[in-house]
Amino acid sequence: MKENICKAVLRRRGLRRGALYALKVLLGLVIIFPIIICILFALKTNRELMGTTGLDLLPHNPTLENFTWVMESVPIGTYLLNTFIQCAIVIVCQLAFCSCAAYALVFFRFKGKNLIFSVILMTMMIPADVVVITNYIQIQHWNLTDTHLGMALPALVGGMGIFLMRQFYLTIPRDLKDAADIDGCSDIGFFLRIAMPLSAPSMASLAIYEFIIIYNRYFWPLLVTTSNRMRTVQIGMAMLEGGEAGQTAHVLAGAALCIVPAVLVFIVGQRYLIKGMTEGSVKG
Amino acid sequence: MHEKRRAAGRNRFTLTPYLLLLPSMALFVMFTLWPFVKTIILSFALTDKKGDFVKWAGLSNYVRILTSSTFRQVFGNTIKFALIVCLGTLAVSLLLALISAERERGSRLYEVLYALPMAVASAPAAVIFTFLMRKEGGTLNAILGVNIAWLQDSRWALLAVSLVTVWLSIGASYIFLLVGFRNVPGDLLECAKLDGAGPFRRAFSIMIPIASPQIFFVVFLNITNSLRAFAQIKLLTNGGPNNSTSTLIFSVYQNAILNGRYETACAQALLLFLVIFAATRIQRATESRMVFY
Amino acid sequence: MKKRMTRIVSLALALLMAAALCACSGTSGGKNDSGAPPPSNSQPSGAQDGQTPAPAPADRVSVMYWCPYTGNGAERVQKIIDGFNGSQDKYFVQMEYNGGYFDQLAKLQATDKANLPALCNSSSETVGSYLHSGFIRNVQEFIDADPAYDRDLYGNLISTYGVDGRLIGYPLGLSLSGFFYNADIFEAAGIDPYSLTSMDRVYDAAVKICEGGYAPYAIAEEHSGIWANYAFHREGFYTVDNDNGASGLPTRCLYNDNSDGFADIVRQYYQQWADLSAKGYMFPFGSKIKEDMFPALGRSELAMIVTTNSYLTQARDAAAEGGIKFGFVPMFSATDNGRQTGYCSSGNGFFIVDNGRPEEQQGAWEFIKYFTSPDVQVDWNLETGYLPLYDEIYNAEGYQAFLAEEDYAYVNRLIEALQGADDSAFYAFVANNNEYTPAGATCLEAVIGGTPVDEAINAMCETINTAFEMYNATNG
Repeated sequence: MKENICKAVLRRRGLRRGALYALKVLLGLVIIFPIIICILFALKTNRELMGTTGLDLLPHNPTLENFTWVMESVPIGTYLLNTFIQCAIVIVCQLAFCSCAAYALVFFRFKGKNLIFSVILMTMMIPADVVVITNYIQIQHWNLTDTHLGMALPALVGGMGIFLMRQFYLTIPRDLKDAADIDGCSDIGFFLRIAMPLSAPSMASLAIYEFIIIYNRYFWPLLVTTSNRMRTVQIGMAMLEGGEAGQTAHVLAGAALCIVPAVLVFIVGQRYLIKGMTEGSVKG
Repeated sequence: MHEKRRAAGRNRFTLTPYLLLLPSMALFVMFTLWPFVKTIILSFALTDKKGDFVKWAGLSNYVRILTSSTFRQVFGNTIKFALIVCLGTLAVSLLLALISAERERGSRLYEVLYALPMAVASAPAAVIFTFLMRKEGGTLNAILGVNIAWLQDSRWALLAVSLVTVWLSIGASYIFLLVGFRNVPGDLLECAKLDGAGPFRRAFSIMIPIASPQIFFVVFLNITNSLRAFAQIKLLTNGGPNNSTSTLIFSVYQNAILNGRYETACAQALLLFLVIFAATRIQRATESRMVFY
Repeated sequence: MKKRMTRIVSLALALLMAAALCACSGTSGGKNDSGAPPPSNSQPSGAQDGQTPAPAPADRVSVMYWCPYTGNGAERVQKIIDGFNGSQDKYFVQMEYNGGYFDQLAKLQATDKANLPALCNSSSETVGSYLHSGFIRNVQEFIDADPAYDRDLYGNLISTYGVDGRLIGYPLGLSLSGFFYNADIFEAAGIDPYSLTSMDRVYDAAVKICEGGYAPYAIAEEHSGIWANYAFHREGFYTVDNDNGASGLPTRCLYNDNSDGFADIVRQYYQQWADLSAKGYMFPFGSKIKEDMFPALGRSELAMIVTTNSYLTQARDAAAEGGIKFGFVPMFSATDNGRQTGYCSSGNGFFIVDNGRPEEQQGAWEFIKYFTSPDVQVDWNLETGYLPLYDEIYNAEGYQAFLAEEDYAYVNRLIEALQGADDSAFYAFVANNNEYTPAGATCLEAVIGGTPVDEAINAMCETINTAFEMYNATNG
C-alpha cells in the first residue's frame, strides 16, 4: 500500500521528488567529501602534493604509483584480513556470551544476581588504557602473543554488550515466556528459538558497536602481535607514516586502500543490517 | 517489578543461570574486573615504571591530580568535547535519518553515503583532516573563506578535533536512528498526513517521540565514546596546543603508556569513571521521564 | 516472516562462528608449527613484502631486532640486514616493527625477559630512558671485549650516546639540528643564512624577511621541545642538574635557575619566539612538518624551518615543486654570547637488549659493527641524508662523490661543523624523557598563546620537577 502511495506521489510531484533526491545525494557527497579528497590526493605524487593548496583538488597527472608502492611495501591485504577476522571473532563471541549472560540475568532468579549486574555496570566504563598492560602480561603468561585468540581474548565479553542485551530481554512480554513454559519449552529452547532471534536488532546494534571499537584498536594489537602476518590495519597505517623520509602521498594512498574494502563490506552488509534491524524488532 | 513477576515462576534451584553466566564471567573477571580492582588499589599507591606497586600513598595521587594547574583545563576539555561531539553527532545524524526515513527508489544510494564515515578508522581520518584543516593552503579555509589555524590555535583546536570526531561518529548514529524511524508504524504517519500535518509536524510529534529509545541510545553511545576517544586527538594535535585538546582519557593514555606513571593513570581513570557514571545516570534519568513507550 | 528472520539470523551466526573458529584454529596451528620453516619461496627480505621474515636456519643464532623505522627507512634497513645475513653464517638478524620510539619503549618495558629482542634502536634523545631502563647491556661491554674494534666516532656522538666516554648505545645514523631555508628568499632579502648563529640573529633576520615583504612567514619550528634544548646546549648550558643527568638521575631542571644567568637566557629565548609569533612571522607552531611546513617553504611562503637535516626528501620534493633552491644550516645558540663549541647530535642509535641470551647479544653487536662499517654507511647515508659517524666514512670515495654535487654543497659545511665540534653539548640523560621534552613544547605553546613568559617557564619547571621527583621516588 505504501508503495502505491509512493508511486502516486511520484507521479504527481515527480519533479520535486527528483530535485529532493538530487539534494539528498549531494548532501551525501558532502558527508563523504573527506574520503573523496583522500582518494584524489592519493593520485598525486608527493611532489605535486607539496604544491597543492586550497581548492586545487584534482590531480594534474594522476598516478597510481602511491598505491603500488603501498601494496609492495606494506601487506595491507593481510592487515585488513586480520582486522576483519578480529572483528568477526569478537562480534560472534560477544553476541553469544553477552546474550547468554543477559538471558540469565533477566529470566532467572538466583543468588548474587544483583551483585553481578551492578559489578558489570560499574566496570563497563573503565578505559582500556589502564588495563592494557595488565592484560598484556596475562596474555604473555599464557603464551598467546601473536595469535588471533590472544588478540581477541580481552574483548570477547563486555559490560556494554550484556547491558544492551539485558535491556532488550526486559522488553520481551512475559506472556510469551509463560506460554512457552506451558507448552513445555525448555529454558534453553526458549532462549535459542525465541529470545535470541527476537533480539536481532539489538544484536545488530551490538555488532556495529563492537566493529567500530575493534576496527579502531591500535595499541593493544601492537602489544600482543609481533609478526607481520598478525598485524592489523591501524598498525599498517602507522607503518606508512615513515618518519622523516615518509611521503604523505603514501599515507593517503594507504588510507584509501584501507577505506575501500571496508566500504565494500559495509555496502553489502548495511542492507541486511538495516533490514534485519527493522524487521525483527518488537515493541515492549 | 516486571522482572520479579517473571522470575517468580521459577523458584526451584537450577544450575542453568550459572552455566549461562560462566563463560562471560570467567572472561570478565580475568580481563575486566581484576584489572579494575587493581586500578582502584593502585590509585592509592605509588608504582614504578613497570606499573608495579612500590608503596602506599593514601590520597596523595588524587590530591596531586586535583590540585595540578592543568587539571581544571583537562576536565573542562573533557566535558566540552563530550558535549560538542554528542550534540553535533545527534544533530547531524538526526537530520540525515529524518530526510531518509521514508524508503524510496534509489534511497540506498544516499543511505550508504550517509553511513560511510563509519567505515573509516581514526588513523586515516586523522591524516585526511590534517590536510583539510591546514592553515596555509587548507581546503577547509578555502571553502569557508577564512584563515584559521584549526589545529594549532588553542581557541579552535578543541572544536576542530570535536568536528573530526563528529564526522567519525555520524555513520553509526545514523544507522541507529534510521532504524528507529523506519520502525515508526506507517499507518500512523499516513493518518497524520491525512490530517494535514506537514513534514516538520510529523517529524517532531510522531517520529522523534516514537523513536526516542533509539535517540537516547545514540546519546548514550556518543557520550561514552567521546569520553573514551583519543586516537584522533593523539594524531591530530597530541593534546596541544598548550593542553587545549588534552582530555582525561588522553592523560590516562599518556600516563599509563608513555610516561610510566601508572598510579596517576589509575587515579585519573577512576575520575573519568565517575564522570561517565554521572553522565549515564543523568541520561537514564531523563530517558525514563521522556521516553515514549 | 519471523521464521524466515530466525533462519537468516541463525545461518548468519553459524557462518560467522565457523569463520571465527577457522581463524582461531588456523592461527594457533600456525603458532604451533612456527618452529619449522613454512614452505615459502620468498626472499629473506620478506619482512616488507607481507611475508613473515623467513625464520632463522636451525644452525644459526637468531637475532631479533625491534626497529621503529617504517616505509622507505625500513626497506633500507632490511637491505642491510640481508647483506649481513649473507655475509656470515653464524647469526641471522630479523627485524620487527613494534611501534614508534615511545610505543616501543613501553612494550619493551612490559615484555617478559624471555620474549625480548636482542637489539633495538631509538632516537638520540631517548638515551637516558634506555640508560635507566634496566633491560639493556651497555655497548661498551662489547667494545671492551672486542680487540678488533678501533673506530674513532665524532666527539658529539660519544657524549650523546655515552656517559664519561663509555658508550650506552651505538649511533646508526647521525643528523644535526638546525634549519632548512629557502635560498631564494634569503638571497632576495640579502641575508647570509650561515650568519644566523644565534637566536638573536635569527630574530632580526625574521623581522627583516617579513617586514621587507620577502615572505609572509619567516620561520617555522617542527612541533617538539627538543629545539630549545639544542639551542641551550649550544649556548653551553646544561638543562638539568647532576651534570645534565650524566652523574645520576636528575632531580630538577635548570630553566629557572639564574645562578649562572641561564634563567635570563631561557626567558629571552622564549620571549623572542613569542614576539615572532605575535607579529605573525612564525608559522603556526604545531603544524605538521611534512603536510604544512615543507609545502609552504616550497611555495616561498616560508623562509626557514627549524628541524634536523634528515628531512632531506621533503625539502628536495618541496624545492622541486616550487622551483626554488634550499640549504640547511646547523643549529644556532640562544644568544650571541654563547659558547658555540658543541653540537648535540640528533638521529638514531642501537641498544643491545638483555634478554638473557648472550649469544644473541653478541650477534647484535656483530650486526651493529656491520651496519656502521664505512661501506654500508656510505650507501645508507646517501639514501637517508644521515651524516658520517667518523672520518673514514666521510673520506670514502662514494661519499666524497656525493659531496661534490652542487646541490649538496651545504652538507660539507655540516660535516665541517661536526668535525670542529667538541663534546660539550649533549642532550640531557633523562629517564622519563616523554615528560621532560614535551614540557618545552607546551611552554612555547603557552607563550605563543599569550601566557606571560615567566609564568609559562615556571609551569614548565613545575611539571618537569614533579615528574623527576615522582620518578626518583619510585624507581630509585
